[in-house]
Amino acid sequence: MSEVIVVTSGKGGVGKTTSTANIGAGLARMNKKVVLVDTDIGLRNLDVVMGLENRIIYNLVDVVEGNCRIKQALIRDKHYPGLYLLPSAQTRDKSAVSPEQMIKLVDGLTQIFDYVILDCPAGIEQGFRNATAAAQRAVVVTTPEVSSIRDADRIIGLLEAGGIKKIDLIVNRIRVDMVRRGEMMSVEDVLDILAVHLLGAIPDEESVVIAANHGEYVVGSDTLSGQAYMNIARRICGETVPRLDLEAGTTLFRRMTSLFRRK
Amino acid sequence: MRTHQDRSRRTSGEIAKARAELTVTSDRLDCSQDETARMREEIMNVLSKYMSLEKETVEIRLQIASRTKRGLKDVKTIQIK
Repeated sequence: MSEVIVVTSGKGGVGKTTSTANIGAGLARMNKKVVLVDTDIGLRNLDVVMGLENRIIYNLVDVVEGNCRIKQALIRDKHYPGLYLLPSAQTRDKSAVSPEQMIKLVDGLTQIFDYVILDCPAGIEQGFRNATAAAQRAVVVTTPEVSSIRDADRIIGLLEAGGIKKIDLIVNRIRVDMVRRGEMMSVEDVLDILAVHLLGAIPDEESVVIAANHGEYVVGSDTLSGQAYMNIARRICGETVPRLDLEAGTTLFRRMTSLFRRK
Repeated sequence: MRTHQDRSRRTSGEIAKARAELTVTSDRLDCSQDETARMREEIMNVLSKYMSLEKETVEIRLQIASRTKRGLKDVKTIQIK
């Protein structure tokens, strides 16, 4: 049984594409066959994050329009033999694909893969409708900021109205030091407001930026964010994984002082 | 109203949470924050006619059910402090 998951957020720049790539890589590490689909037509991103930008020949619109077969457009990842990318078109616009065409395309992909992960564009327009029409399950990415929480709530409402039964949340870019000082909302604060199931929290680490700079994944590296994404992949597969201690990197002294400061 | 004293007492994280809760609530209800506050006031007035309440300890939950175009039911429970 293959699963179709849309990664979405409403607001742009919260880490949808990075999350898509790392979840995909995490699933591939568990020996799943995974395809990541960049549904942001006109603004191609996922290929760059995965470091595959030089290998694109055909794209999603070519498949939809029948210029090539699905397998011709799929690009195999550099590291994981079970991970593939279906890139979006750079020179076309959102109206090039309809929700019906997207559903048909995804149907074709479910014949080949265990997981089809759709990287949704920002916003709630056609690109969002296309990506969500084909999905059974959604992962909403947010950061602990008022603006992205507001957008996430809107998106959750739209997903529920669209009939998506399973909606999970990723809280991205948590800075434990700021949360400790009370200068950032905690994961619990975000969950209080949005009231959806938490799939995982990702700490704001340099390693995420550095990996993306190289077109690599943090998953598989010995970093907290890498572990956090790996845990998310395992939870997607149905495993019960205890929550990661995001304070693991901080010293005992700082933890002690924060205990006293909390009064 | 956020006074200077208020600002020095609450951390920016707490302020952010309160703001996020307010915007999300008014988005879900599709009415402004002022209107939400007025609605709360009115509901409290009605309730206090029939029972004795302390304003601080009361939690009002509003359940809104609507039918969307696809015929699905979208139920949201909204908590107005």
